[in-house]
Amino acid sequence: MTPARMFFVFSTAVLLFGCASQPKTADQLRDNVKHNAAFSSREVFDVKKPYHQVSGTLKKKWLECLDSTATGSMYRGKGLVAVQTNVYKPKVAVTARRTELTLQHKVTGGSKQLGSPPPDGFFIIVTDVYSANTNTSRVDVQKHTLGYAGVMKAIRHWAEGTNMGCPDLAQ
Amino acid sequence: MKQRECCAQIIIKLAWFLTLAGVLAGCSGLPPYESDLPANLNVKTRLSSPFLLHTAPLAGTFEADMHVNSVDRRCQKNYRGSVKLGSAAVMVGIPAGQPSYLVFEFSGRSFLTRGTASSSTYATLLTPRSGYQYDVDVAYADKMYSITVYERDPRGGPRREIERRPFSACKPN
Repeated sequence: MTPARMFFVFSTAVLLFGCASQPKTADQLRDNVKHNAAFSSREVFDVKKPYHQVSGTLKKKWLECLDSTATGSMYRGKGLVAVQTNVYKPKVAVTARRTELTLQHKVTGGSKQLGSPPPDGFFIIVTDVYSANTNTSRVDVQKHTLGYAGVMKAIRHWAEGTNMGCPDLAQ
Repeated sequence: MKQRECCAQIIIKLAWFLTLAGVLAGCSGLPPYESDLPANLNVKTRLSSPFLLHTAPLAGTFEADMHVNSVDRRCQKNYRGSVKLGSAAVMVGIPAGQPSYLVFEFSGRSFLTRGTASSSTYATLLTPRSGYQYDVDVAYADKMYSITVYERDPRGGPRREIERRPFSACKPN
């Protein structure tokens, strides 16, 4: 087997493994993070603000900023350009004690997502907000995907009130 | 035969670079939004390219456009054209009393990486009130952006911020 072929087989195996475990529900994502699945990570931080305030701000910014479409194109040689369109679907569920914010990702052009994604796409980020005590909220951000450092940073900014801008999902 | 293949490759490459040059020169092919309506939307833009490769000295571009869609009673979108957003403020007229769907798109392209491009969008429904003015502040810096819409009564009083409305807020009537 040539090195190139070995690389291709290895890459495909990694991709298939990654695709097979892509979360179709928020709980599956939490479970993957709990079991340290590849490409998963978690950030937990406290904010010195009451729960209803952090929940309200995150809900507003989550729905406003992450309801987005990002397109990328790359030159493939011989005059061919590969284009991929990524559609993001943010959702929010709020109760008196807990807020769940989910982000789903769907590819609509260029390449096909393996692993039968749900209609709005695989779950890539789940954020839970709780009350740690009367004046402190806990924000638990769990991610099962590569990249999206900008979103992770933005969530902290929104919760702390330091920057209310939207992350560019194409970067 | 080999010479013919070689020529074909040169032509393909030439066509590719000409297309790219056209795009970089601003000939993106987007139809401009045109309207005879009195200007009621005033857009101010501040852009800072997220990458060095997307800057003019390195033959790249980073730009913003506003795509204007009219929305009918059945909540059907109809693309009306695009407005290029630059350092100069832009004033356009959109119909009062009916919703328009405004899509803001930030896009970057790099010539050095053979035209590799990326773009992202932010969209909102806006139903202007007759006689009111709307200010839109568009800012992009450090891979983050903000788009804020304000409503202003030309007869005076403070302007108020209008919250973003997703397209799903449109209800057919």
